[in-house]
Amino acid sequence: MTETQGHGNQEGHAPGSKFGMVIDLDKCTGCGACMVACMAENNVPTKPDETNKLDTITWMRVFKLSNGKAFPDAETCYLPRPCMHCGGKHDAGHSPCVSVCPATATDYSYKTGIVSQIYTRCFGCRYCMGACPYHARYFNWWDPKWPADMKNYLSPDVSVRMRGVVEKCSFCFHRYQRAMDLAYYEERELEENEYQTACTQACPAGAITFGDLNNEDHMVYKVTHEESEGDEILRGRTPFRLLEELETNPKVYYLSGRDWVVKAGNASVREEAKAVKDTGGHH
Amino acid sequence: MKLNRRNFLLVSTAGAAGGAVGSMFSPLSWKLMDDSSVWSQNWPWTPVPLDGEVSFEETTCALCPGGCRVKVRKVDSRPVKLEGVDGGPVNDGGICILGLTALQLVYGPARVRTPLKRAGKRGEGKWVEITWDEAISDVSEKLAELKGAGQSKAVGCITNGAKGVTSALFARFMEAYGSPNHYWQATAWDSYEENIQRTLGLNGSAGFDLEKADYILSFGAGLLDGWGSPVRMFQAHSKWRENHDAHVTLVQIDAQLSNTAAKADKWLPINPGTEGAVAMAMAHVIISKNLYDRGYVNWSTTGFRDFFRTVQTEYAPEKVAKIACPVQKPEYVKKWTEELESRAIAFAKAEKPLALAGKGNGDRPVSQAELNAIQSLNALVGSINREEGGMVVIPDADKYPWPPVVLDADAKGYKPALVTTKGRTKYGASNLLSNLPKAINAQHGGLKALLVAGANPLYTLADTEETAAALQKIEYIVSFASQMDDTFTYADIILPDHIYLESTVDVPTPPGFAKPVYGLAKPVIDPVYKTKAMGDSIIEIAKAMGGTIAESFPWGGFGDAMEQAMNEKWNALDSDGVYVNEDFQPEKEGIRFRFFARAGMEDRISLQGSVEKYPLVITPCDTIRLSTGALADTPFMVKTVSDTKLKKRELVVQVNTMTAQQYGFKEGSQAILETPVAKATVLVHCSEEIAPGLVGVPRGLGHIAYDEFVGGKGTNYNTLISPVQDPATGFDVAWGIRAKLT
Repeated sequence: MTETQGHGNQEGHAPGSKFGMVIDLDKCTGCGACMVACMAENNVPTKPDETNKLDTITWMRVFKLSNGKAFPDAETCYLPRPCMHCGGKHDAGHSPCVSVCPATATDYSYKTGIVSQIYTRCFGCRYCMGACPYHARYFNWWDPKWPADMKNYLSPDVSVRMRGVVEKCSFCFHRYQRAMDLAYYEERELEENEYQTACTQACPAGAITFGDLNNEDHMVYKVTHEESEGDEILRGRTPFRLLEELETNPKVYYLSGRDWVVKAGNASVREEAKAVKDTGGHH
Repeated sequence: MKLNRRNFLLVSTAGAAGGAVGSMFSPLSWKLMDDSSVWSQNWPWTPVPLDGEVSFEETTCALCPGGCRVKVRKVDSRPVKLEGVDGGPVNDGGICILGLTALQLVYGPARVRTPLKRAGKRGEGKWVEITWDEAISDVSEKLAELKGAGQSKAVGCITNGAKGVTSALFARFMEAYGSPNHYWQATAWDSYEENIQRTLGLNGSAGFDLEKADYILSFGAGLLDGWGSPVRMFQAHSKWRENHDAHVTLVQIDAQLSNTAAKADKWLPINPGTEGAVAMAMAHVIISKNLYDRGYVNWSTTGFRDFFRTVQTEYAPEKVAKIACPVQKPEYVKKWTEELESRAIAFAKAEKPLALAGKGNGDRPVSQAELNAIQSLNALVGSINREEGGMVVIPDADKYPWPPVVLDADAKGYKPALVTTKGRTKYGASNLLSNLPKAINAQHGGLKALLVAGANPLYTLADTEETAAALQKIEYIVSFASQMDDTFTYADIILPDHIYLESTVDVPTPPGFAKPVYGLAKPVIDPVYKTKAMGDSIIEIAKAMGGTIAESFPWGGFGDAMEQAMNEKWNALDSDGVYVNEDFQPEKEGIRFRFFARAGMEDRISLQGSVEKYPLVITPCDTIRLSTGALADTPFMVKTVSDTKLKKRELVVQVNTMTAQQYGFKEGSQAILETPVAKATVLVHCSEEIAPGLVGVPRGLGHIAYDEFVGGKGTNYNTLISPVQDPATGFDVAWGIRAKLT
């Protein structure tokens, strides 16, 4: 249980890593490569009919946002949504899902900041799914199937889930393990590019930047700390997180040069904007 | 204690409560809960993937002409995942949604695992497994029989394009056999090849230095929807967004808010089919404002005077706005016209402007009139064969240095092709596959046998009914498909191809790439099933036929033919898997661009159907998540398709909210979509991303074959439309069809 030794540490992240992601929505083209890279990496199955988007399992899902205006003033923007690996209030590890799990099947790691999911402990109560404000958790309503010889391409790095358990994005934790094993064997620190999630690696637009939010040398730190030299990526944009007012403290940041996208992604800003509009209506 | 009811309840409650409290302290209940969840999940049918040593092997993806370098991650000998290779000349580490899922093509239920011969009636789906020897002799005997009966021209062949060694071997076979009926389906890139010959007098393909251009006018080219080499395009787009020194502007001139339009700096909505006229209006602005490159126009072009006159008299922006502006409200038309003018001016003033065409993902041809107009813009600003950021002509590769084909008397004799061409075309009738079904149906005994190599005409050709009727008339259809595709259902014998991971395949310069690059796929896994590379199959068939045909194929196998074809590139390809001509310089000396005066509006391709009967216009929607070519989506790709394109088994069409209201439809309403050639049941998606009066139909759905993951979903766009010939080339340039929704 060394992973959770810091459980009593209410001050949040002490010296460990805190892996996070910055997604540049101005670069994202909605091509879907991140979604299938994730499926291929993490042994996610597929059903004959996946058009009911409520029961389709996509750890990484690309949403399409719209500015709500009529033709020809309509604009759209894609927004990839992995698990946010929430740190909870004060980054103390009280993620919405971790807090409600009765089986300790999902846990917050102070060493990496990753919210784990231990399939064999999960008995499928789905409290976590109700608690997650990002709909990042998925339930296996059916046994997974790999007809023909498709199970031949399954990866041994990720265990195959079964009917009745919840699953979600793990920030490709197995890749962290593999990279750490190698670094440990070679008696050195982990380099930024050694541990990258499958979606980050696959994204043909290079829209995803992944690294340690606690490490000043990592690009994600630079982008998320204004005083740092993140300018070449930021280009005047301010990173935002989804539903920040819930104090879930997500580790996934977004960049967009378009105001309506920032507003769509952050409900509190949106509510404010609405309030202003409403008062305007009374005058 | 007397055991009355009160005491009994007291004791039992205390006991139960005590037990419950006690159990909290005992590990037993927790252990049992944990065990029960563990054991309830320990089903024997849940696979436990075997562990082993991890290794990576690099190759070149051959699923599309994109030419990406990829690596396969293997656990022992088992491939588990595909990833991009850093430093790949086209894709530098990137990979697309199709490339990522290649293993589903290897292991999926739609894979053809062994040679098959049809057992029942056509389309019944009954097959018997045969050996490779039986398959090769069956085909060679049938072809020999036809040749012996003087019917050699009644054998047809359809390949996936003309480029690459495999297609060249099939072309060679047809030549040696003595049939002129080798065809492939033209794309936007074939249109560009034709246009380069007409306007520049060169034999070559179009390349675009998009990474260096700084002002891009895209006339409907789905640059981020699968056009060109998709990964390269995503990376180019990201480069534009990163550029601090000079902002790169992308203006998308498109009938709908495609992904490309959504990512563009400016989307200029137009009525579909008016791309050429809009380009001419922009030329009008550039010429009127005296912003054209006088040096280039004076010294390197011909026909400018006529062009000037036509443009000035017929293509004033206000005039073009009447046909091209999608909303005919005076204030919007004014805004639209001003936008067109300001974009044309910015284009002409930019340092490295570039205009391009492509019709969505580029697998549909563009009319010559439209290309003439768009290329005129490039000529006006001197972008043709410009040093940097321009449109370059990649010269056609030399013929493979193979020994000459040996011809017998029959093969030497002149025989006209079944499809006839009007006027001059670079490849004769060969890329007019779209006209083949009509030609077959019009004649008695047009074709008796057909080889289908890497193509899926039943799916990709417009007017599926006509194509199906034509296939039905052919006695003997040989398919080389690796997947049970749509055309497979009409085949009589299948000689299944390898997937590129199991095989040697060459990937010529990807469409739109600005310098010559050649990729080579080499086997990185052992063939999983009893399949054979198409190249080997055709060589074996030729050898089995003997005589001059066998003499024309002197190689031991496909590998030898490949090595000889690659010639001086072979060593680089063999060791690095890729060959890049870094020294490439486009030919400039004595190259003159010819302006065509009559271009654009009056040559606008008109659609089939009357406005009265069919008030709406179908326009296709392309997305990279839906493959539209010979290769269908993989199961994972289908999973990513939006529920605003496919819902259960029904096609969802995009209709502007106002148009939907006008016809009484709400979000999700079921409707009948009817065109002059077909009818389909669809669901309506109310959208603001498309102009009123249009029906956006996603392409890439509605396969009739494959497996439960890919087949039987939605309706094929091509069944709803019918071909419209470009008067200049004969290519099918239908950009839609008239329709009604009821």
